[in-house]
Amino acid sequence: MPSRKCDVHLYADENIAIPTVTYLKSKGVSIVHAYSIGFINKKDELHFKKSKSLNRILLSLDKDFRKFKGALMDDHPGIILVTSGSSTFEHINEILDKGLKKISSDYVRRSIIRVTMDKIVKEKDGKVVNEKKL
Amino acid sequence: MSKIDVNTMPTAKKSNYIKGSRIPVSFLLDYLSEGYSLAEFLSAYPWIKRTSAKKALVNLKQISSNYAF
Repeated sequence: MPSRKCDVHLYADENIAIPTVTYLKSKGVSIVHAYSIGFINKKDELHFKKSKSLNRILLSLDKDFRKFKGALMDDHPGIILVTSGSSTFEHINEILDKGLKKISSDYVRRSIIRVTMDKIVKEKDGKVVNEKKL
Repeated sequence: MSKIDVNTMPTAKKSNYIKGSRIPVSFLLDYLSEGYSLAEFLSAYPWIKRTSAKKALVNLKQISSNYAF
Protein backbone atom coordinates (compact mmCIF):
# COMPACT_ATOMS: atom_id res chain seq x y z
CA MET A 1 0.00 0.00 0.00
CA PRO A 2 0.98 3.63 -0.27
CA SER A 3 4.36 4.64 1.09
CA ARG A 4 2.84 8.06 1.73
CA LYS A 5 -0.36 8.34 3.73
CA CYS A 6 -3.35 7.58 1.52
CA ASP A 7 -5.72 10.54 1.71
CA VAL A 8 -8.65 9.05 -0.19
CA HIS A 9 -11.88 8.37 1.67
CA LEU A 10 -13.82 5.64 -0.05
CA TYR A 11 -17.38 4.42 -0.23
CA ALA A 12 -17.50 0.88 -1.65
CA ASP A 13 -20.66 -0.19 -3.42
CA GLU A 14 -21.93 -3.75 -3.27
CA ASN A 15 -19.71 -4.94 -6.13
CA ILE A 16 -16.73 -4.66 -3.86
CA ALA A 17 -16.13 -7.83 -1.84
CA ILE A 18 -15.92 -7.56 1.93
CA PRO A 19 -12.35 -8.97 2.04
CA THR A 20 -11.22 -6.03 -0.10
CA VAL A 21 -12.65 -3.61 2.44
CA THR A 22 -10.96 -5.50 5.26
CA TYR A 23 -7.69 -5.47 3.34
CA LEU A 24 -7.81 -1.74 2.62
CA LYS A 25 -8.70 -0.94 6.23
CA SER A 26 -5.70 -2.99 7.37
CA LYS A 27 -3.57 -0.73 5.16
CA GLY A 28 -4.94 2.40 6.78
CA VAL A 29 -7.42 3.39 4.07
CA SER A 30 -10.65 5.00 5.22
CA ILE A 31 -13.44 3.01 3.60
CA VAL A 32 -17.13 2.45 4.26
CA HIS A 33 -18.95 -0.44 2.58
CA ALA A 34 -22.58 -0.22 1.49
CA TYR A 35 -23.23 -3.42 3.46
CA SER A 36 -22.04 -1.89 6.72
CA ILE A 37 -24.65 0.85 6.44
CA GLY A 38 -27.43 -1.45 5.20
CA PHE A 39 -27.37 0.00 1.70
CA ILE A 40 -27.57 -3.19 -0.36
CA ASN A 41 -29.46 -4.02 -3.55
CA LYS A 42 -29.64 -0.38 -4.59
CA LYS A 43 -29.52 1.17 -8.03
CA ASP A 44 -26.35 2.82 -9.32
CA GLU A 45 -27.90 6.26 -8.97
CA LEU A 46 -28.48 5.70 -5.27
CA HIS A 47 -24.90 4.56 -4.64
CA PHE A 48 -23.74 7.60 -6.57
CA LYS A 49 -25.83 9.90 -4.36
CA LYS A 50 -24.82 8.08 -1.20
CA SER A 51 -21.12 8.53 -1.92
CA LYS A 52 -21.73 12.21 -2.51
CA SER A 53 -23.70 12.61 0.71
CA LEU A 54 -20.91 10.86 2.62
CA ASN A 55 -18.34 12.97 0.75
CA ARG A 56 -16.47 9.81 -0.15
CA ILE A 57 -15.09 8.60 -3.46
CA LEU A 58 -17.27 5.88 -4.93
CA LEU A 59 -15.31 2.64 -5.41
CA SER A 60 -16.88 0.07 -7.73
CA LEU A 61 -16.28 -2.60 -10.34
CA ASP A 62 -19.39 -1.56 -12.26
CA LYS A 63 -18.54 0.07 -15.59
CA ASP A 64 -22.08 1.44 -15.79
CA PHE A 65 -20.88 4.30 -13.60
CA ARG A 66 -19.13 5.73 -16.65
CA LYS A 67 -22.53 7.12 -17.62
CA PHE A 68 -22.18 9.70 -14.87
CA LYS A 69 -20.65 12.73 -16.50
CA GLY A 70 -21.05 16.44 -17.03
CA ALA A 71 -23.05 18.37 -14.45
CA LEU A 72 -23.78 15.17 -12.53
CA MET A 73 -20.15 15.05 -11.46
CA ASP A 74 -20.10 18.65 -10.19
CA ASP A 75 -19.29 18.67 -6.49
CA HIS A 76 -18.91 14.89 -6.50
CA PRO A 77 -15.81 13.42 -4.81
CA GLY A 78 -15.31 11.21 -7.87
CA ILE A 79 -15.49 7.58 -8.86
CA ILE A 80 -12.81 4.91 -8.93
CA LEU A 81 -13.63 1.96 -11.18
CA VAL A 82 -11.44 -1.09 -10.93
CA THR A 83 -11.15 -3.03 -14.15
CA SER A 84 -9.76 -6.51 -13.90
CA GLY A 85 -9.99 -9.72 -15.84
CA SER A 86 -11.39 -11.22 -12.67
CA SER A 87 -13.68 -9.94 -9.93
CA THR A 88 -12.08 -11.98 -7.15
CA PHE A 89 -10.91 -9.93 -4.19
CA GLU A 90 -7.37 -11.18 -4.64
CA HIS A 91 -7.13 -9.50 -8.06
CA ILE A 92 -8.92 -6.37 -6.92
CA ASN A 93 -6.69 -6.02 -3.85
CA GLU A 94 -3.59 -6.33 -6.00
CA ILE A 95 -4.77 -3.62 -8.39
CA LEU A 96 -5.80 -1.26 -5.60
CA ASP A 97 -2.55 -1.90 -3.81
CA LYS A 98 -0.71 -0.42 -6.76
CA GLY A 99 -3.30 2.09 -7.90
CA LEU A 100 -4.04 3.90 -4.65
CA LYS A 101 -0.38 4.82 -4.35
CA LYS A 102 -0.85 7.17 -7.27
CA ILE A 103 -4.28 8.57 -6.51
CA SER A 104 -5.16 11.55 -4.33
CA SER A 105 -8.60 12.86 -3.48
CA ASP A 106 -7.91 16.00 -5.54
CA TYR A 107 -7.00 13.87 -8.55
CA VAL A 108 -10.28 11.95 -8.37
CA ARG A 109 -12.64 14.84 -7.60
CA ARG A 110 -15.36 15.35 -10.26
CA SER A 111 -13.73 12.61 -12.37
CA ILE A 112 -13.95 8.95 -13.16
CA ILE A 113 -10.72 7.08 -12.58
CA ARG A 114 -10.31 3.68 -14.16
CA VAL A 115 -7.65 1.56 -12.51
CA THR A 116 -6.33 -1.52 -14.26
CA MET A 117 -3.38 -3.79 -13.58
CA ASP A 118 -1.02 -1.55 -15.53
CA LYS A 119 -2.51 1.93 -15.74
CA ILE A 120 -4.71 4.63 -14.28
CA VAL A 121 -6.96 6.49 -16.70
CA LYS A 122 -8.68 9.71 -15.71
CA GLU A 123 -11.88 10.61 -17.54
CA LYS A 124 -13.90 13.79 -17.46
CA ASP A 125 -17.09 14.20 -19.45
CA GLY A 126 -16.40 10.92 -21.18
CA LYS A 127 -12.97 12.00 -22.42
CA VAL A 128 -9.58 10.73 -21.29
CA VAL A 129 -7.74 13.67 -19.73
CA ASN A 130 -4.82 11.90 -18.11
CA GLU A 131 -3.15 8.51 -18.05
CA LYS A 132 -0.55 7.11 -15.67
CA LYS A 133 1.36 3.87 -15.97
CA LEU A 134 1.52 1.62 -12.93
CA MET B 1 -28.78 -28.36 -36.70
CA SER B 2 -31.32 -25.69 -35.81
CA LYS B 3 -30.40 -22.03 -36.12
CA ILE B 4 -29.97 -19.96 -32.98
CA ASP B 5 -32.71 -17.37 -32.67
CA VAL B 6 -31.01 -14.10 -31.73
CA ASN B 7 -34.25 -12.86 -30.20
CA THR B 8 -34.21 -15.56 -27.58
CA MET B 9 -30.47 -15.71 -26.97
CA PRO B 10 -29.41 -14.92 -23.43
CA THR B 11 -27.88 -11.45 -23.17
CA ALA B 12 -26.28 -9.40 -20.42
CA LYS B 13 -29.14 -7.86 -18.47
CA LYS B 14 -30.39 -7.35 -14.96
CA SER B 15 -31.57 -10.94 -14.79
CA ASN B 16 -27.92 -11.95 -14.93
CA TYR B 17 -27.60 -10.81 -11.33
CA ILE B 18 -27.74 -13.34 -8.53
CA LYS B 19 -31.25 -13.17 -7.12
CA GLY B 20 -31.68 -10.74 -4.26
CA SER B 21 -28.50 -8.87 -5.11
CA ARG B 22 -26.86 -6.74 -7.76
CA ILE B 23 -23.93 -9.10 -8.06
CA PRO B 24 -23.47 -10.49 -11.58
CA VAL B 25 -23.44 -14.26 -11.91
CA SER B 26 -20.08 -13.82 -13.66
CA PHE B 27 -18.55 -12.85 -10.29
CA LEU B 28 -19.54 -16.23 -8.89
CA LEU B 29 -17.99 -17.91 -11.92
CA ASP B 30 -14.75 -15.96 -11.40
CA TYR B 31 -14.49 -17.24 -7.84
CA LEU B 32 -15.29 -20.84 -8.68
CA SER B 33 -12.99 -20.93 -11.71
CA GLU B 34 -10.11 -19.64 -9.59
CA GLY B 35 -10.55 -22.36 -7.01
CA TYR B 36 -12.56 -20.56 -4.36
CA SER B 37 -15.41 -22.47 -2.74
CA LEU B 38 -19.02 -21.37 -2.75
CA ALA B 39 -18.65 -20.68 0.98
CA GLU B 40 -15.73 -18.34 0.31
CA PHE B 41 -17.75 -16.48 -2.32
CA LEU B 42 -20.64 -16.14 0.11
CA SER B 43 -18.38 -14.76 2.81
CA ALA B 44 -17.14 -12.15 0.32
CA TYR B 45 -20.75 -11.15 -0.36
CA PRO B 46 -22.53 -12.12 2.88
CA TRP B 47 -25.91 -10.70 1.87
CA ILE B 48 -26.26 -13.29 -0.90
CA LYS B 49 -28.21 -16.36 0.10
CA ARG B 50 -26.67 -19.75 -0.57
CA THR B 51 -29.88 -20.89 -2.27
CA SER B 52 -29.73 -17.89 -4.64
CA ALA B 53 -26.15 -18.63 -5.62
CA LYS B 54 -26.96 -22.29 -6.23
CA LYS B 55 -30.00 -21.32 -8.26
CA ALA B 56 -27.82 -19.08 -10.43
CA LEU B 57 -25.56 -22.04 -11.19
CA VAL B 58 -28.53 -24.26 -12.00
CA ASN B 59 -29.84 -21.60 -14.39
CA LEU B 60 -26.47 -21.41 -16.10
CA LYS B 61 -26.41 -25.16 -16.51
CA GLN B 62 -29.84 -24.97 -18.07
CA ILE B 63 -28.75 -22.24 -20.50
CA SER B 64 -25.64 -24.13 -21.57
CA SER B 65 -27.69 -27.29 -22.02
CA ASN B 66 -30.01 -25.41 -24.36
CA TYR B 67 -27.10 -24.70 -26.67
CA ALA B 68 -25.45 -28.12 -26.51
CA PHE B 69 -25.14 -29.88 -29.85
